[in-house]
Amino acid sequence: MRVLVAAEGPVDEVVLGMLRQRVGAEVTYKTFQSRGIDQVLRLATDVVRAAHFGGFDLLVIHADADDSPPHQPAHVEARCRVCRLEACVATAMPTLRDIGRASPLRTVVAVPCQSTDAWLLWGRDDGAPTAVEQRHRHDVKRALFGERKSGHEAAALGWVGQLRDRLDRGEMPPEALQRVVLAVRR
Amino acid sequence: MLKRLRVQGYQTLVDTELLLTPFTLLLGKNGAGKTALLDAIARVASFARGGPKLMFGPAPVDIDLRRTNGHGGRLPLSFEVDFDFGQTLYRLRIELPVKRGSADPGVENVRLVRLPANEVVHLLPPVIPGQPPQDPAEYNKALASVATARVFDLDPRQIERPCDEHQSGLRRDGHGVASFLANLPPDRLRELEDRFKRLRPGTVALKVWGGDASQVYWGVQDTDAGDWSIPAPLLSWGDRLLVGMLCALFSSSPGALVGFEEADRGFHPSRYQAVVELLSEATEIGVGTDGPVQVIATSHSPALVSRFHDRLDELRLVTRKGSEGSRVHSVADLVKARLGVDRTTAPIGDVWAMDLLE
Repeated sequence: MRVLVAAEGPVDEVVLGMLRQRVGAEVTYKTFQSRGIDQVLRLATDVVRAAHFGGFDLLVIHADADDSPPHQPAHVEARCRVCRLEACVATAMPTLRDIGRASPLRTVVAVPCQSTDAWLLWGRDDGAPTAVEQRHRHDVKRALFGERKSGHEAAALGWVGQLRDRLDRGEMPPEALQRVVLAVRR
Repeated sequence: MLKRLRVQGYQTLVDTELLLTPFTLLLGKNGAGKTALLDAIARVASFARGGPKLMFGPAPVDIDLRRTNGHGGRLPLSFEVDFDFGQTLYRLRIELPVKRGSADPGVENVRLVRLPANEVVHLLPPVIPGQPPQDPAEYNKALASVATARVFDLDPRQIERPCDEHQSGLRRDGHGVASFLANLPPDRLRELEDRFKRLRPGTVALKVWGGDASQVYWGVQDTDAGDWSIPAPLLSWGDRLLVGMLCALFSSSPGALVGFEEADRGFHPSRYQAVVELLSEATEIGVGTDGPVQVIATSHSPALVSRFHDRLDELRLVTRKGSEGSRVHSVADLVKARLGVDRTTAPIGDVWAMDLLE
């Protein structure tokens, strides 16, 4: 299976790379070069097109939730990032010309938690799985990287191993991480 | 106008072809081959000005370093350009020998033909030894049009430098701006100054001083500095580059190709639109010239590239994978092939920066 992952930054890529190993797919990364949900929304339609015409089986658009309200399955909330991204995807999909694909492009909008860095913190600190995802993103970043402005990607690479170890031991992961793994597997 | 360039065996260029438009903007990652393409154009123009010695300089080192190392040794080196002159489309092909370390890089074969029928205008060496070129007058005239092409890799530290009043021409790095300004006829200097004032509000005048057996200097008088002229070294990088770019355009001949390495270099994004406007105007009616010029530039700035959102046919993406040679793609074609549309939804610079075209 070929998967295209569009993510916001290098640390997200590191964490999602670990997911790739667990799911066993061939993953191509594309990084939104400017940070922020507005940039993700602006490029979402073109990302969907690139995935469709590039022959990918699955597209994962990944963004941090930051301070936006959590997504609920039945709600339509203007500030909810999942709702907004899913609307972009839903608008783009019917415009895709048939190119003789074996199966239509599947998409996963992953806005799992305030900050994906929370999963690294869970892997590193043995904290309770749910609490860590509910911590404010600035708090998570401070806990992981302190005042350092550089070296985040390298540090993340180290902690990803610990995260993988915990998952391999069969520990119950944070809820949002579990959801992403299940979504990708599905 | 140069229509097409094809290069074999030069730096990253291995059977690499570039199709040119009146304005061509090259995008691509570091090492993809953008600079090599500009450099190849400059080399062909140097050849047209002064033959193989001017093309590669007097030492053998330059050409040897720049040859592409292929499997089993150095690849044959050749440059081929299609260009129109008057109503005729020509193809010039220059082949250099594979030998290395020679004090004289030499030329193995030079061929100028009229397209599309491939009628030979000039052939070197001739088919029959001693036979003169078929039409030296036409050959010289056609080559003179290629010789006007120039590529600039502007450097603010060179642009600011004082220089001899009689220095001839503006160098590739921008050295010589002072003497160029000093030698411009007053009406042309006013025209250049007016352009600069529009691009740099607050400018009162461009000033040149010195000369007469001493070096010439240049600077800017502006509303904040009163009567004092700010010497070039105290101007911002962006202001110096802007003057360098204007001088490059003003020093060109109508119909000439003018190349700019990293046209966005040193400019605040708020100036990108003005820079694109300036270069576009140069290709449409001319800036400081009696007619339009052809412009080719490189850029790494998504914000500048996005100014071409509705001009995709002018964008070329240069790519290179592993040890393969550089490849040049039309961005308009890539958008159609990779995204299935004529125009991207997001600004083209952002789509390019996210690598959605590769």
